[in-house]
Amino acid sequence: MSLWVDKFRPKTLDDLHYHQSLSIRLKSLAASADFPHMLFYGPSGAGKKTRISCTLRQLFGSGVEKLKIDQRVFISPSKRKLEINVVQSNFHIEITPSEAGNYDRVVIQDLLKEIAQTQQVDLNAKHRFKVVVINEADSLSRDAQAALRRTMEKYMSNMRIILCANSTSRLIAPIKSRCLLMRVAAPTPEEMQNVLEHVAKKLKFDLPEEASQQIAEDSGGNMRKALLVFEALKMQSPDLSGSLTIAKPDWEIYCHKVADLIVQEQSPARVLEVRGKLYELLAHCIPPTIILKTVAERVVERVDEAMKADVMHWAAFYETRMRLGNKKIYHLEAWVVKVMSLYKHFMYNFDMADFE
Amino acid sequence: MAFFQAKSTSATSKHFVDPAHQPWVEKYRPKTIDDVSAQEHTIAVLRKTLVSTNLPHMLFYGPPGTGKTSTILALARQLFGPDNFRNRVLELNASDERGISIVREKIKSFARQTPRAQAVASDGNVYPCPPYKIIILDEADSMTQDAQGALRRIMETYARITRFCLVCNYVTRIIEPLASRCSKFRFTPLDSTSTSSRLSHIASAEHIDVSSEVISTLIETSGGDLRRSITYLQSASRLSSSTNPPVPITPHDIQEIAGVVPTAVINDFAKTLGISVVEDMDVDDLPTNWKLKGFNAVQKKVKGIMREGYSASQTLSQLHDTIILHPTLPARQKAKCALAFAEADKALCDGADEELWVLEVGLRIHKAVTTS
Amino acid sequence: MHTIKSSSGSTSKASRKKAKLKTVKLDASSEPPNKKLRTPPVDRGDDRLWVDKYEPTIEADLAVHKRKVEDVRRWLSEAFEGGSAGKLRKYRRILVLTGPAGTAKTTTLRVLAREMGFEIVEWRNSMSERGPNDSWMDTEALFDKFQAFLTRASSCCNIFAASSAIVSMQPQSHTQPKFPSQSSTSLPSTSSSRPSNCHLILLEDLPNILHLPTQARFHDALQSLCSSSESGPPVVIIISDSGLRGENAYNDDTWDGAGGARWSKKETIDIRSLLGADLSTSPYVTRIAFNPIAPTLMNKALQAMLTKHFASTSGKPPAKDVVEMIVESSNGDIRSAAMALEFACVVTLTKGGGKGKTRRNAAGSARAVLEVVTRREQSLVLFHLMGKILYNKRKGDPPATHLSTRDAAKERELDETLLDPSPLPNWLSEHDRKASRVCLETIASDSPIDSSLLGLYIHENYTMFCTDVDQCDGVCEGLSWVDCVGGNLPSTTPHAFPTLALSTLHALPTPVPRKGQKVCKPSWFDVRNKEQDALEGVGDVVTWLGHGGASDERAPGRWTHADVALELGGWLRAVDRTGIAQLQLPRTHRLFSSLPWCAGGVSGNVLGEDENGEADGVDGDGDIRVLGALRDQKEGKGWWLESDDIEEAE
Repeated sequence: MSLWVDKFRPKTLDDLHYHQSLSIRLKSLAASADFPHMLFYGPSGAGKKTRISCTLRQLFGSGVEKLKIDQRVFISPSKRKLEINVVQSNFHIEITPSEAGNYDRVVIQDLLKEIAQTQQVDLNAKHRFKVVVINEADSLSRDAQAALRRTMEKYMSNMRIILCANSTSRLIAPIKSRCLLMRVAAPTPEEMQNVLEHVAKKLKFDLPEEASQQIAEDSGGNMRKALLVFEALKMQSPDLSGSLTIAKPDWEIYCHKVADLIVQEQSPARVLEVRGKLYELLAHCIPPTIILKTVAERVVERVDEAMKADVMHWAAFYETRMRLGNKKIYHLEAWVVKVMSLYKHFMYNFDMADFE
Repeated sequence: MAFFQAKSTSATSKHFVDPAHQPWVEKYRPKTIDDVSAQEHTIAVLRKTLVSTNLPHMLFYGPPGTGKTSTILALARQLFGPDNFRNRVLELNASDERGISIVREKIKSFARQTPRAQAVASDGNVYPCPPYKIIILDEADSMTQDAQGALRRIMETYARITRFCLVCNYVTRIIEPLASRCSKFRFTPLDSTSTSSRLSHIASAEHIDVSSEVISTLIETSGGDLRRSITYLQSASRLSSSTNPPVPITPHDIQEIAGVVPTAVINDFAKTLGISVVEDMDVDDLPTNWKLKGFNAVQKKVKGIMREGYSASQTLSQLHDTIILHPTLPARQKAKCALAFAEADKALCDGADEELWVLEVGLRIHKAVTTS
Repeated sequence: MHTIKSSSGSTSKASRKKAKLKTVKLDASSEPPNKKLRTPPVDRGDDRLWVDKYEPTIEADLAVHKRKVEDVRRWLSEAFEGGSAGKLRKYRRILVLTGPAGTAKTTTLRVLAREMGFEIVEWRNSMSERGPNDSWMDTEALFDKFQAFLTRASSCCNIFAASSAIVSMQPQSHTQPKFPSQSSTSLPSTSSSRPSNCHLILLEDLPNILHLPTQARFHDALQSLCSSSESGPPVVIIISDSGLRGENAYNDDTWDGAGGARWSKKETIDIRSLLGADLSTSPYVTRIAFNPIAPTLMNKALQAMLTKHFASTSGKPPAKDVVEMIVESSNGDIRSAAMALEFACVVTLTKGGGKGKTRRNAAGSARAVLEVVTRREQSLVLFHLMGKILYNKRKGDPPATHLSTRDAAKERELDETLLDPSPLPNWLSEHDRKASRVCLETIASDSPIDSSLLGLYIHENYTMFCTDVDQCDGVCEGLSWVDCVGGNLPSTTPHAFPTLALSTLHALPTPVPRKGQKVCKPSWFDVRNKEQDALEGVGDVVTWLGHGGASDERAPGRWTHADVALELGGWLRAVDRTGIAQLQLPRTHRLFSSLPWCAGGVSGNVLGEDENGEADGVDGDGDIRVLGALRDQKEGKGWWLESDDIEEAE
């Protein structure tokens, strides 16, 4: 019994179930001698990392799967020691520089220089270059991206870089222009159902149509989430028949209840109560942006049409502030209070234009 | 061959790139200043300097991909010839370490070496080979103020034997004392005729078949940046030639490569917001059921766009063009929309959540268009 | 030079003060120590501090709660004898005592050592003591010595068991050669029924575990202690909470679901860094958390100390209320209370006793001195600051009911001196306010806290002072604005403080209804600590997944922290419930994966004019826990640093 997400993850480009055109392209690129730097981008759970590892396998064969994890120590200019987990095989190396926080530039420069200056040892390797996979590329700082860009220019012969990011907005233009952009969109519900059925077949049990439909729709385009929900569902009701209630993650239900609290009563005492709940969510490592979005979406479902736009406006407003500021709870609470105030006034028919 | 390697004399230039895999940007860089397209004024002045070999300090500024670095490199090549090129030209780039100390050490040590000239070069031509060196500072606008200040002093000290050429995008970021020591040359964005002729030339040299539609898509998506167009062309040809038989390049391919959101998606989004799209040539007469759907429709559409993975800033930028350049939308509504776009751009630069801001812009536009 | 000092009957409460604890140096050239250790030295005009002089020797003297001592005693007896069935012995390998400074952890251990009849072999990183004739060159690194010590202590028994003196072996510091190695053992001087080679190892002065390679070796050393099959002596580790109070300890980097310094290791010493991930959840390790000492118990102990002291010397003990004030301001730290008490007595004595002055005057002057010494003044000032801001007194407010007529008249007089602000134009009329009685410059200059802490205090408490959501909106918006505009600037920008204060004053209702509100301390620090713990749980799960915990192949790097926190919760809980044994989930996942809804709000810790100490006796948190259960409450109170912050490496 293990995580189905990991167990049934496709290993070769042929095993992939959707985005066939992308797979064809990747295959032909891997076969050609002229493999470019690449940037895979798309929403979470769409399959970017899976495709990257399939591409690596296409490039180098199964040797790429012998992985070892190292903890490398880098020394920043201020003599600080940074420990980064580095995963590598004989042909590639995978890092997440954002683990280093503000010092990611050091990691990029040192590591890439080191790799680029060593030749591929294995003469039987199909390609002369080594591949560097950089995860969470959109959280790289500007400095790190500038350093990366220069490295990409200089060391083209020895090294290819594959970036994995959720969105291209935060990447600087020179990097985007040096990479081949590969957009990995979220799968459609039908495509997800296919995957679920494939997994069920492998595990030799029956998956009723409506169950797979429900799971696919609930997951919102996130394949990984769908498979996790599927596995959890199977653990709790092994036969998967009848009408299933897909349990939402705890934090989501919590957020919905917070939204209900906001809509039910608007008073200082209620603010205090909501704050306690927000603190709980923060203490369970839920990212503040997710908290804000989930609560906002639920509030929007429960208020009148005229108010919806304002609720989302303030959500966007305070989310930006949250990025710039230090204490997330202030901004979350400010949004909650603002919504309560809006709601109260709306109920008493005040003139809403004052709030713009 | 040596020309392509000698660009960074300070770094270890042992990385010899196979000509077949060279970026076309490098391969088709103009070799003489006459080859540089569309910068008439600058070229005229520089041609004179070739004759008189009296070069001022130069400051090239303008949008990216307009030929600044190419021009200075071509000029240098024409002055020094392939043999002396490497030891007469020093190129420093923003991504290199460029604090004050580096500026002082590297430049000083380079500037101090006295040049030695040979009359006839190995390729049989005679090059003027004036007695000075050229230092190219790429992306000079990202040098710190202190470094720029230090540079000023060095420029004065070694003026006899060194000429500086600063290349930057924004001349306002260069400190005044430095800018006053240089002759400024403005590089204008390229017009589409010269760009398309250049692209066609490259395409035929590489034996690729491109239709005029593809060329125009290339020019559109690159926004006046020739380097970008050439790179897209190269990626597209790589993709198409990787299959056997080669697939012809379509405009859609170019759009995917450029990361541009397909126009159909943008138009669809605009429709949901209540703006009818130009190509349908409709009179601005919204079907009434748009208004009923309102918030939920917009929210759903936004989620769909985010699921496709399109970049928010790209989406908003394209939507902006659609709306602001819309022929029949009233100016007051456009003004309100413009405000929304501006705020969203700032927020996205600060790193805000993409979905929230695309939704926010959508809702603001929707409100501006359907009310008042 | 041989100095023989024996810590006789009284073992030092403040055992960290190395100079105080008496030690014997084993020199190459020394005579056998035995000869000199026969009689304990006589106190000639004992000039030790009271913390040492009046240290408890029997359990009844301890100020620690009975149940806590009971727990420790039980653990020790199980460790030595194996409990009722004799089987528990092997699970009692390491005991970790935690708690704030001055809560009598070491003293409890020594008292129990005396009463139960075992020795303590202690490790010291001595850097300060030197012997002039020592000629040894130090060739061993400090940690190697530590390892050698552990091996020796586990396997050998004390050869000086019979005598009532101390044999001490302290390690040489590698930066200053010429020290002999030493560690200290304290022996029971009373008779004991235990064989004299029963001992335990005490680690209070730890090797530098903030240095990662040393930390790794330390974990390995402890691990091998646990896993060795023959039962060596139990190990007791004492750590004082040294949580860094400032917020800079945790840089609140922007989270966007990706990595970042948020996930990096803390730089303080706590259970996890002390023991390592494996050991923290091991059944061989037990943790007992000591609470700050309850006021009643502390009072009792201080009184006992006073009785003892004034029995032998002349003079009058200080007044009862002085003692009470000391107890309040000590915040559960009996060491500092004893120091303050000693100081108070000294002050009273040197002010000429009680002769010629009324008793009240003497007490009054003692109080003044004490206020400065015990930092109680700070909490008073803060209390008044918060009161001023949150009660938003303005000109013309009706006087509070508890004010006398004279004070009310004074208030009215002061009001006359306040200038009325000019009225605002019509469209801004909602922002008209009466003149405020709060003088901003005064409170800003007197404030004991900086602007970010002020923000936290305001944030924690403002809802109680608002009558309407709109007012809450105004206050919270002000907090949010200052935070985002200040951004990552240090809170030393001079504008943040006045802006916060003014925006709060502006938004609050006027007059603020008096409902007996109590100002609470910010709970933000607690939440931060909890979050950090949960983050480590996430990190555990990520590592576990990477090492192939869930599937058969190792798939490192597949899961990001954000994915685990957001999506894996349901699966983790389902696995927990159905209990698949082969998968060894790290138990810390519960810190983030289960989030039950409980109705009702959260109550805070009150900041009062008269500080109430912790509830007496009720002890939910202090139970023995096998590590691996949910995190303990870390007390992130207040604003002052603990007295024993452990220095950072590098």
